[in-house]
Amino acid sequence: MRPAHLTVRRLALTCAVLLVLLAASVAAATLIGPVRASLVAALAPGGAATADHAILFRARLPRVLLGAVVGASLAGAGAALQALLGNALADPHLLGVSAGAAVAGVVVLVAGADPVSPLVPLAAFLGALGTVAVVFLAARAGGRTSPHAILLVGVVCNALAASAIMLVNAIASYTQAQGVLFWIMGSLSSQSYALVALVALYALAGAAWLSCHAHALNLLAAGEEGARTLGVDVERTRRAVFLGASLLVGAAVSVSGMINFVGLIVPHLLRLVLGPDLRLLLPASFLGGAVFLVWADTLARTVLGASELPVGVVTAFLGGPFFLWLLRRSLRRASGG
Amino acid sequence: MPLRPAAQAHDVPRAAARLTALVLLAAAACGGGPAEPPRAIAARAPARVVPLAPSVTEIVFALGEGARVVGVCGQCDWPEEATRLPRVGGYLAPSVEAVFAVAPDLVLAVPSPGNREAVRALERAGIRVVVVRDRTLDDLWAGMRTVAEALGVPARGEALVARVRAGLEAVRVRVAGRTRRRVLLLVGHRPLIVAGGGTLQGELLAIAGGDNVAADVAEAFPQLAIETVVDRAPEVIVDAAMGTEAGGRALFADLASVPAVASGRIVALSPDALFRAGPRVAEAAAALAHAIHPEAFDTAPAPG
Amino acid sequence: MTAPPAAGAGSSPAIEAADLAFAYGAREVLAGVGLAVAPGELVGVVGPNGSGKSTLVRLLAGLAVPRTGEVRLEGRPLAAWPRRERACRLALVPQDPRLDFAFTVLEVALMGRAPHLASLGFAGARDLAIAREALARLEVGHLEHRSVDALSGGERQRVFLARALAQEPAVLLLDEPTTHLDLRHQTGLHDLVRARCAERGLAVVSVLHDLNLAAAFCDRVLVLERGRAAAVGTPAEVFRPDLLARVFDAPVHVERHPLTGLPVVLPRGTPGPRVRGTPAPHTWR
Repeated sequence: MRPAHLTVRRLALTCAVLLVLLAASVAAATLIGPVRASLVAALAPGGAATADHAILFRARLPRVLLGAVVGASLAGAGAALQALLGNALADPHLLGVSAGAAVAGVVVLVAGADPVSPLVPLAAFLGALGTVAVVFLAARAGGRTSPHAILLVGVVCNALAASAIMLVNAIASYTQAQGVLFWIMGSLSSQSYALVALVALYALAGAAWLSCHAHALNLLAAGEEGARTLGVDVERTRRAVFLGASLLVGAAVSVSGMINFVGLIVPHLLRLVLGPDLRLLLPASFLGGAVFLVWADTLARTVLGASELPVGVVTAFLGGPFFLWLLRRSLRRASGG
Repeated sequence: MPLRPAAQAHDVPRAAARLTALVLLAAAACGGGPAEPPRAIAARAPARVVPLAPSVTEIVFALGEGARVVGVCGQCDWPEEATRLPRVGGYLAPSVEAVFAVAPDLVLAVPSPGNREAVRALERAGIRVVVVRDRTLDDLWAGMRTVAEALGVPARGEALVARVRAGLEAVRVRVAGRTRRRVLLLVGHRPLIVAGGGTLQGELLAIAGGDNVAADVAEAFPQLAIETVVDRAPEVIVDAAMGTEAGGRALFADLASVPAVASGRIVALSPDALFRAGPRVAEAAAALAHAIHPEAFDTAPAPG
Repeated sequence: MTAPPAAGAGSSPAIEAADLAFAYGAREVLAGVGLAVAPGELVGVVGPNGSGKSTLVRLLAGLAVPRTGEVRLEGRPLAAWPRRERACRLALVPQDPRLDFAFTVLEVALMGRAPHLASLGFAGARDLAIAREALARLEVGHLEHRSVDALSGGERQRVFLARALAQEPAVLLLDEPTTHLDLRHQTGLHDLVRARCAERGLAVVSVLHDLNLAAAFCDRVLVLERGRAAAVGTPAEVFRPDLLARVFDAPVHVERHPLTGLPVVLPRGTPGPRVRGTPAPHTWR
């Protein structure tokens, strides 16, 4: 039985534990891979020129760090979104932002950009921004942002994007189509510390922004009117959380494609263990999501030997059955009481 | 067909109707053209040829039979005359309708991921389809001979095979005696796809004096993790992927432990000649040799 | 009709409304309703279904804007109050409160402290004490660790009342707070509320279905009929058989309680084969 309420001490302790777990995971994942690389050799004097150094610090570590940052963004956005929509089964890709980012990225890829070029994530992020604006404006009616409307517009965006991507793929060449598919299925392959740093700063800003509204989101659980009688500016909170979560997801998808289920599973599992208080659940989701995706990507990198699976495939294999189980459980609860 | 005399008045129209139906059915069964049974080996050479892949287009033109080509696939862009011919769809998905529209009597195809259905449809319609494989050099020689025979010019086929083989031999001689260099042949940037063992490209690499670092991978075009590339430490990286040169360089930018990166030996090659099992493989091999052993080409090339 | 505060109350009303009107689209729900509640007063709102009781409460809570008229909290119009300050003075217990997520009972009670706390809302010792005291007074203190969705309807209602009390408001609005409560807790709740009225000058507006409960606990009662105020005054003044029969469209019999002297409302029921002199069973439910 979990503690009756959240204290600062419990928050600090839980976050500390998760941080240690994250650091350990990053270190372990960097040492795991299809090729053997010696940390000792890489760190020895003159080791910077060795293959071990290149493998550990140029091929693996940036990728592991990117996985951590993307996982954090997706899970944190998921936790915030589940609270905003009052539904524990919400996934951040429902927002439609991912769809906009994916379409923009695909278009740029098929227009001839190299898949390695920074144009792709840049275009994808612009696509995300555009979609956020569209969903936001479309979901507003009479000055109120309705969660119901957000969901519906998001579904429409996703459907449109799926069709657009299929259309673009149909006219693309074979190799281009391969590249598009690979990008869309979710890939963390990157060797740029600069990119990782950029996305990490962004994710931190997003985390801070969302955390400011954590308490107000808690109060929203009692419904809009309940929250208003407790002094919450519901409209402002909804807007801020929607924007914050969308931008986090947009950035994640722009650099790594569509990685599903992280934003659903991680917050959901953590809520079962830590409780629904977002002041704890939000930072825990960020940290837990990072750990989750680091390990999912490690699996993706190693399970096939010399080749690699797109990480989105691993999360789908893990997440699909889990989601079904969740659904059954919540349906049983709802009907059985 | 003589009719029985003194038949009733309505017998004549009925019989005529039956006759017409029979003739129409027979005509339909024959495919509408002059009554030639389907799949018969033509006594005369085919006059209207449609190659469905860039490689076979090049072979047909190299055999000197370009005049007989009436339609080409969308990606067929060499030689220049081919670009002015009507297009019948893509290499992956040829348009059966467009092929019908140019009324060929011979279609040449290569097994591709998307054209099996189209080939079957063409065969069912009674058009002769010759399929040539393109996986290895041996496939290439066999393919050239098959196409030449189908076109009725077997002697020119042999000549073409001999000419291309000679070109390859010249490349081999050029780099003979030099230590083989470890080479990675890049086919895609992201996903990072390379040419593995058992491919035609791998064979060209070997002729050009290179040692394919991915030769032990059974798959034809495997996807490798970048750390695998680092581990195998190629001395030369040939970037034949479809992206930009800058993209290829960015991919390996920080990996100074890889000899190819340290010495700046990342050479971009156009994928066109390299990935077509056609008459230009000798040029492709030469380009590869130039990339792998540039010192062998320092002196001016021998005339002829 | 506006109800002035009870004579002799002496202080300005904690909450008052004048000439309130509200409509859902074209359907008029309230018209010309007014009310003034003095600190320490418990005013009941009764009326048949659809008479506008819940709408009145929502207007008083500031959750809806009336078409005409104005609600003033401690002399200031509701709209002039900043959100948090208003939440420190005005609390609402809604009709059937639910939560989307499984917070614990203590967490829910602590939510009531939110208007008094800084942005991240971490509760201090005093806040914990206030919340726990409210829970204890409502006899749900022992359920502190329990998840709210694992409670019975009555327990949940009491937890949400504790949340409202933890807000330490000056005005408390209750929308049918006793629907799921058993007899003991129906009276217990109102005893507690009355005690707060006396101790802290809490002003309460309570929407009630049970006329006898209203008669027993309310200083004054507002009777709503089809969106208009049919009568307002003390229970003795207002609970007249002719008025109640008209408003509720059901014949009633009003007696005087032998011990308290307050009115007791008894529905007459339909005539039928019953032993004369024996009270109809359903009155005692």
